[in-house]
Amino acid sequence: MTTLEKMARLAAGSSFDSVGPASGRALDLAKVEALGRGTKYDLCTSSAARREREEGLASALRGGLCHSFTGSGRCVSLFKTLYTNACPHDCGYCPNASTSAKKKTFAYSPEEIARITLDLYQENRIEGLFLSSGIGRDENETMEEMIEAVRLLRTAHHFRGYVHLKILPGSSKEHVRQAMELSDRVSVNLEGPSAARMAELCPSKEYENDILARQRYIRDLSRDLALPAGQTTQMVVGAAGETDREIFDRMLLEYDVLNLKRVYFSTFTPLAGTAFEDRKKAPAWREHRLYQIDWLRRVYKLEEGEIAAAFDDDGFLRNSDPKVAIARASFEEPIDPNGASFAELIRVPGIGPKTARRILLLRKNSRIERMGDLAKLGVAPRRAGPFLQVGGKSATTLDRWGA
Amino acid sequence: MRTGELLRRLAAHRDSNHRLMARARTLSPEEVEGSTDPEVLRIRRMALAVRGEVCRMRGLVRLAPLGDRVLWGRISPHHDVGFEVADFSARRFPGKLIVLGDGRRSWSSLYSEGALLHQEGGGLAATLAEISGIMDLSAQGGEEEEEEGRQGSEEKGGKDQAETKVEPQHIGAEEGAGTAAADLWTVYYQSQDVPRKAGGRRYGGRISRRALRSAGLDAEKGGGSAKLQDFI
Repeated sequence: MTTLEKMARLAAGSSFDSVGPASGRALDLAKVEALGRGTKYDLCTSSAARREREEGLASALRGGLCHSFTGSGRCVSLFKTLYTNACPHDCGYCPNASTSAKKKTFAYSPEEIARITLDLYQENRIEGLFLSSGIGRDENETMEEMIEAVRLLRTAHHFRGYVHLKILPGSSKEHVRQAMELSDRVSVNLEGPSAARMAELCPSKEYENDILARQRYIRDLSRDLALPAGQTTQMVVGAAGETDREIFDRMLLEYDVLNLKRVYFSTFTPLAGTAFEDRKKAPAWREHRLYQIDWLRRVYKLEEGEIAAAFDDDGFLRNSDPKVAIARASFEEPIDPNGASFAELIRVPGIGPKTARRILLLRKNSRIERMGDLAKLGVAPRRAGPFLQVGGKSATTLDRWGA
Repeated sequence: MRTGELLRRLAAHRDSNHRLMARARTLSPEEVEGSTDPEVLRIRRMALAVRGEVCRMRGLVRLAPLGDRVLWGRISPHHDVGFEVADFSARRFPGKLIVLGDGRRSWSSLYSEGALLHQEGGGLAATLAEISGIMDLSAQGGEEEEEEGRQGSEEKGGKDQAETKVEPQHIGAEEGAGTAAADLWTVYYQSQDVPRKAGGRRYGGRISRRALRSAGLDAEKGGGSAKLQDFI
């Protein structure tokens, strides 16, 4: 018997099949489209989750996987959908709001969510599920059905892929607990940086009670429950006139007080039929600059006072690399990479933590005498040059000293 | 990168040779990370290229069912990573036989009772036909792959993969099921596009044309699953 024959016979004799046969049943594609479109501004990025190896159908990867990218360059690694697009809230930016020009409402059943996830997962089109929702008739009723969908995946199908579940504003603590038991990541959307901004964005939501209280539930429950990919949140940028500084201050609270893993930003896009359809759209670069600030704080561990140099007098970020503005304010003169500390190196534009570590390793064996040596390690010479003195020379340019 | 992984990745690279392997054995992880020596830089780049290809293939390969015990997909890796990609899916779906490959090569992997079984074979179509015979399934797919393999690799021929890939619906045992999932995916995929956030980096800018061809993605290439008959 050849190895292939043996393998084929073993597979044929195996009775274990968590996925089960594809449904083959025609789905309402209009529903798939409408509920999928409802989440396209929701952000989730990585499908990575650190957790122990578990028996069952697959496991979330530590590194995450991008299964495809849309034409706009966004990664698609999850089946990201609303459970229902019916919602009584009046968020001015949201096409599903009660105040928006009415569209047809749809809702999945828990079985449909589980089946679609498994079908797409078996074809390796997705790495897991991202399930959000409008409130439906009642937040607890909808939350219960969303939890049931994930429970079906986890228990009936032993699904160990990635699951990110949205906690609906106002959900009960018991539902939050159940959601956390079944998911890799949960999140409550903040939308605005403060109660005042929320009142402008969505008058029917209570910032303290509907949002922040649920975030505290998650923080407190996660002391006893494993939530491998942690808690996250998301803010709409530019819909209510908030400054970047306000968003940054809220971001600090989310990380430092509520122990969030990530804060995501989505620039405001006025959509036809919504209450905010005539408002000016926020520039897409604003989201990018906020992520850079987030990165400097979260990964580079820069102090709040240092990052403040990146904001203008009105509290907005400029459309330029905030790290350059911070470096201009931080460095009195160019630094020598042969003697600089790790903390100094990572403050130089064009040098990240990985490159800084490489520089420290190289320094053990040889001196850095040429910019070319740094380039080989991954340093961006044009950006880093004005802040470095290599071989007794520094590339002082207008970039370095300019406004 | 640890030494074991470095050697494994380097050995899988298509341009790997004994001299580079011997040099890599002498390197510590710190040297690999921090050296500016051209040869060490080359070794690092080669290892990272292989790791990148494994990551792309794992994410981008699409699997289709053949009967209810076999999943197959099309990959044409540049480097010797076929089994690593097949093993990834095999571990994910215990008890299912995973067959990946193209017109010339195939890698079969099965995770059963805590162990992985491997078999390397010729073209994907031939392997699927052999499996179908053993499992008593009717395999009608892969002939075009075989034809392509006879004509030489897709890289040399420059022929668009979309014209030659094995369509899931060609596999008789599961006719219909693959199509429903593909339609579902196309609709869902398009619902996620936000053109105003494009930022100048289109899909093709992130993933090389070779990787796209290799994984045989339809919706993502903008072609959807439309066929000539749809327009008649």
